[in-house]
Amino acid sequence: MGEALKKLGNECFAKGKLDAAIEAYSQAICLEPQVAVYHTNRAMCHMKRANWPAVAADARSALRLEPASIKAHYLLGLALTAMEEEFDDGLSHLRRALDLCKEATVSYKEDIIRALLGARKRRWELGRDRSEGSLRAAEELAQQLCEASATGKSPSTDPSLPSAEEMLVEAVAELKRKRTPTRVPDYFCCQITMEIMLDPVTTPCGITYERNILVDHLRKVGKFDPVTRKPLDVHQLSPNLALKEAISDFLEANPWAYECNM
Amino acid sequence: MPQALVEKPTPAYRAGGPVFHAHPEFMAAKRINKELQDLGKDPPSNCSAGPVGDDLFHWQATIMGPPDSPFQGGVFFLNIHFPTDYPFKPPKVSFTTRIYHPNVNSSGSICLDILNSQWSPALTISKVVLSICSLLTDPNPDDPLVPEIARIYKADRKKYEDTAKEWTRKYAT
Repeated sequence: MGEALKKLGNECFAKGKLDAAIEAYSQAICLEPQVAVYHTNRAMCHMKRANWPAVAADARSALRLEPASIKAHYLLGLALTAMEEEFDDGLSHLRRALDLCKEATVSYKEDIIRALLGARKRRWELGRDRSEGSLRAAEELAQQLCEASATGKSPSTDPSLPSAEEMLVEAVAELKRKRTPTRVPDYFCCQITMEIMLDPVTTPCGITYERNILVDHLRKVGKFDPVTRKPLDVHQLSPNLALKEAISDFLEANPWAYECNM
Repeated sequence: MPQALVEKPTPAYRAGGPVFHAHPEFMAAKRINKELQDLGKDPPSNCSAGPVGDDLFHWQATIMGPPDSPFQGGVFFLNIHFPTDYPFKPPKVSFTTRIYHPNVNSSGSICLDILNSQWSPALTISKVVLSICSLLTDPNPDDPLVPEIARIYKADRKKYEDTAKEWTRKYAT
């Protein structure tokens, strides 16, 4: 019975008759409340209408029934981030949905990725207004302090803003973060030398190596891709120009990364 | 190339010591150093590895006998020598602790494909030691170094396990 109602709901959904679809899924849920798909399907209808609280509610009931439901994690993540209230929670549901995609094939994987990227960007945009405000305040304060030391007067303080000490501490911490060597990202490093690459080349398997080292390997060890062991010849290598540029920019900003022992 | 430069590694290859770019061992030394650092940051469970004294090209490793094997409870030491053209050539790895295993002989030599024909410069000491760990759990009796142990392993598993446990008690604890 529930299955027949779900079929009816799907047909209505495909035709864009959302009210009818919601009605059909609701009846299916009444009859068989333990079937997670009825909840996620109704959530899909609410999503079409951007009725985010309803999407979140249905996705949550689906997750209670089926904790590893990719669609339920995706819809809940989408709803929470769309409501712009529970970003952290929403992002973690989207990440979980993407993780679960590794073990299953779903047609909407790209939608999940786009939802995740979009939500991150939205959170960044919302945070930017705030951080730009405090940056401006810090800039003004720095100016006032300079003038004050020239004239001998102390700067006026705005009690709604963080104190000069707090701003200074934050600025120094930020500078320190930028200048302190961390670790060279693995994706900049050759699989043989384990060092940052200067002339990255990519094999047909998609693995990237430092060119002269890989050429040495093909000559000395054998004609195979060191990571995948698939046959490989020197003429199959292509330069990875985008990565080369990214590394060059990274090295300019992080000079310590060259021949780095970390 | 002056003869002196292609000889055995010298103490110039201490971690953080001076290095010479033109030296054929320069790349090997850099790569070994990298592996040492990675091991420090992300040590594998149940085993460890590091240089013996000053010589970056000579390491020692220890493996704790895997829990699901007759070697459980034992601590096994291995000797590792890096060739000067590492990682284009595999490291030489051998047991210094005696072990009753179809793929390890009485002088400690190990029969493992990735240490010979199947070596790849993308492999690391960490991966090699992990492979040896899984060889302890799952011997390869079809490519034995000690045919007699392989025969017993195939014909009388109980006897193999009892002897392996006995040797572990005797030599590795």
